[in-house]
Amino acid sequence: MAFFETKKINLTIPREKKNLLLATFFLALFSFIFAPVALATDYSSSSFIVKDSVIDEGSETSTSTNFGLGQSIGQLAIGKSTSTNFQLWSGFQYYYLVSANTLTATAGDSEVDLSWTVPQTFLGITVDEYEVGTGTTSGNYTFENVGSVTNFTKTGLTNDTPYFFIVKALSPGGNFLVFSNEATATPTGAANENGGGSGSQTMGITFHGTAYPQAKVFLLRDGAPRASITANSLGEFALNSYGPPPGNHNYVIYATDPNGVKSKSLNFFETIAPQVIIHRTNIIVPPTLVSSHTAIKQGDPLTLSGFAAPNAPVSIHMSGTQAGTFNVVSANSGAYSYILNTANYKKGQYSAVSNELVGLYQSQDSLSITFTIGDSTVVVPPPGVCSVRSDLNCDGRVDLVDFSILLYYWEQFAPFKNERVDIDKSGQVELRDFSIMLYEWTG
Amino acid sequence: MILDIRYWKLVNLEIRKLKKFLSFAISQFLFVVLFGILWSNHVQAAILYTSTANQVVFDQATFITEWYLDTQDDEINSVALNLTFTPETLEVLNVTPADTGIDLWIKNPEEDNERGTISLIGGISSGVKDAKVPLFRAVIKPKQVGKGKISMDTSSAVLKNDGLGTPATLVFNEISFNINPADARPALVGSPTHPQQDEWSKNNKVIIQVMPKPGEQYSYSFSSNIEMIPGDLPSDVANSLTFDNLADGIYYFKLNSKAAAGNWQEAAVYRVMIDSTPPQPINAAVASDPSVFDGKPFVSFTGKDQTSGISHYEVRFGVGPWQKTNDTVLRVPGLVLGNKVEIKIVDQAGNEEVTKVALPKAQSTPFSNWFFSIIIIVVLLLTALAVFWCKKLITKYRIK
Repeated sequence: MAFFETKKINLTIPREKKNLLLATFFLALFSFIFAPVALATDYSSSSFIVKDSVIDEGSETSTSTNFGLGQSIGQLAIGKSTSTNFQLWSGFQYYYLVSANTLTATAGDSEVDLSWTVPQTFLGITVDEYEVGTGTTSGNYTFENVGSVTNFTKTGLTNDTPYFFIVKALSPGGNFLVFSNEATATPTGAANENGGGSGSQTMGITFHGTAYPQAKVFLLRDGAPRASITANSLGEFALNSYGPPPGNHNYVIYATDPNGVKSKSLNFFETIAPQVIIHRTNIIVPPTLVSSHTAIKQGDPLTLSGFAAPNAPVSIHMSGTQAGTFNVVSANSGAYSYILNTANYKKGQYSAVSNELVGLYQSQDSLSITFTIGDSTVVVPPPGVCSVRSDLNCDGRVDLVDFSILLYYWEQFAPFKNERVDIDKSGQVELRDFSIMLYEWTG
Repeated sequence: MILDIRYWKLVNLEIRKLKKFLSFAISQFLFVVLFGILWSNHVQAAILYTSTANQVVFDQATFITEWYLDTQDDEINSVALNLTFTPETLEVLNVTPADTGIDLWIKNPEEDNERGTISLIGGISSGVKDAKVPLFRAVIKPKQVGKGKISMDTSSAVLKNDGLGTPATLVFNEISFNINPADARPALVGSPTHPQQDEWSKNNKVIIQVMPKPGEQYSYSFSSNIEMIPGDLPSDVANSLTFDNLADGIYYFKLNSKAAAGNWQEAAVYRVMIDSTPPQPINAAVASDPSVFDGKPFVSFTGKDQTSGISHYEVRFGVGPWQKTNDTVLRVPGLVLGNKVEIKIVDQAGNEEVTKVALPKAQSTPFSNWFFSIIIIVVLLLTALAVFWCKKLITKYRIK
């Protein structure tokens, strides 16, 4: 027997256990790499900084002049912390996921209109309100809280200065959730579009006309928003498109009244040539028209109202089971209304349009509205984000994104994951749906 | 008795007068009704037409047709066209939406030479009402002597901008071309600066050379208006003809010839196409919707070129490679190195325009941040090394 005997120790790991260990290791590594990154906010004061703090959703935050502290202090701090205003969550906390939303910016006169979609959220977190960041250099913003809205007009800007915007979504506890994309816009005086081509002011087109007092008037070129302006107290506006590429362009003008109702769009198919500026004047934006009810019990009053140029004769033309024409005059504010005594009309389906006379010029008809006189009453809800049929993603606009969704489902049959895509409810996404979307286009 | 007869004669006379009057009134009424029907039909139908229906066509010599829509009294916002042509005598080389009035394309104009069809689906946001809405341009090559025809299939449609998608009547008169033998062309015309009539050039200086035949006089015109014809005064075409500083567009050099005792007649038409201007900046957006691509973000864009038309798009996500595409809605890849997507639009002359759109920050994975990207790569490499080393250790120290 040898003095020293080598004893062999079986260190072999069984194959099954080895595979299990390797699988576990890679699973952990995979989870680490592809786990959603929870963006954390640093809190700092003059004397300290809390970096990458784990944020927990709670109902309140503790704040001082210089810092805000989330509630999950149990994971960071040692010692004793007391408050009457926070809860301590212990144990493993999950990280919620929020998808970024999309921000669009439209320049106006010393202002920029911002609108954004609502971020998609997972694992219980919700979006409560937003902060809009504004800056003159990309990535550098000053934030202001705008509440739980999805659109905002930043005013008081300097014309011809590019501005950069971003929207921060916040939880009910005021914690940061997600940033939108950065959007940029350059407000210009007299609502000019400068660009798309040389930007030269020796070539282009100008539009002068009348909408309604304080109406927001928009100019689209080839389907995309190019300029906007707020009409003055007489409803007058001026919009210009300078330096577009020479050639054929489709210009569209429409307005939204103080209640956010969109007017019928006016289109101008123009050929832009070098060294030529076309002037379109005496443009009358058709009035807006809404009904107080989509269905009204016979005998109950129905209000037809809208906005037009100030002190303008407005004619409301009703057709359907019976016809009628009602003449009113708009107020200084441009508002007009007519109360229809439905007792004088038979039960049935009706539609109505209005038009106005501004000086010697008759406007086109407004967008048509429909209502029913019958046995029951249904009040028209106030315009909301999803109130337009073709606004497929409910961001308050009918634009390229909605077109993309329609294109995604083109020629497909019901059922659809997004039921709104079948705009005419025919069971298939086809040419008629496309036509209705183009009719309601806002850009 | 006599009184009775005279009375009845008077009555008959009055009846005959009445009959005449009634016949006249009824005929007038029918005329008005018929006229009204015809007139109303004429007013309400949109008309599809082409501006180059009457040009002289020779075998193997390409020609261009520009297609327009006259909306008449209607506001139209969407067009779906299906045209058919005789594939045995005509070949469509390409169709492009150059300087079109269409904002949005469901289906870009495309040709199928096997079936003999040209089709498109497009729309105009908020509609248009105009006598000459450009739709697309087609380059056609006659394949053999004979007759070539283009007609419109009944499945074609235009819809009104009325919020209901109401179809409007669309009419198109079939067009036909007499294809003449190639050697029937009286004179030869060429261009050293623009040798290919079917290709777009950025060069806005054109030199035309004519190879005249002895004993003939020539006059010429050079214009972007295809309807322009040369005058009756002879011109010197022995030397090269130079046209400089031309604006973008399609120009036609038309040559008329006259024998000693003959009349002026068309001798040749030479086409020059110039586009030195980049396309318009692209209208693009990055968005997401739960019902599209399973909620993954996508980029959507539309482009337009005022002159030669779009050739294709190229897209680059982050610092990745450029990818050629004809799709205008693309899913953003899950992993993007970088924080923007670039879209390049290239026209038929090779002019380019690039638009950049920022990707939402939180939409990106850790790979969108350079720093994290490097860390992840290092971790992966270390992991691989660790696994390899573990295996070696296991093998080395396996003690039985």
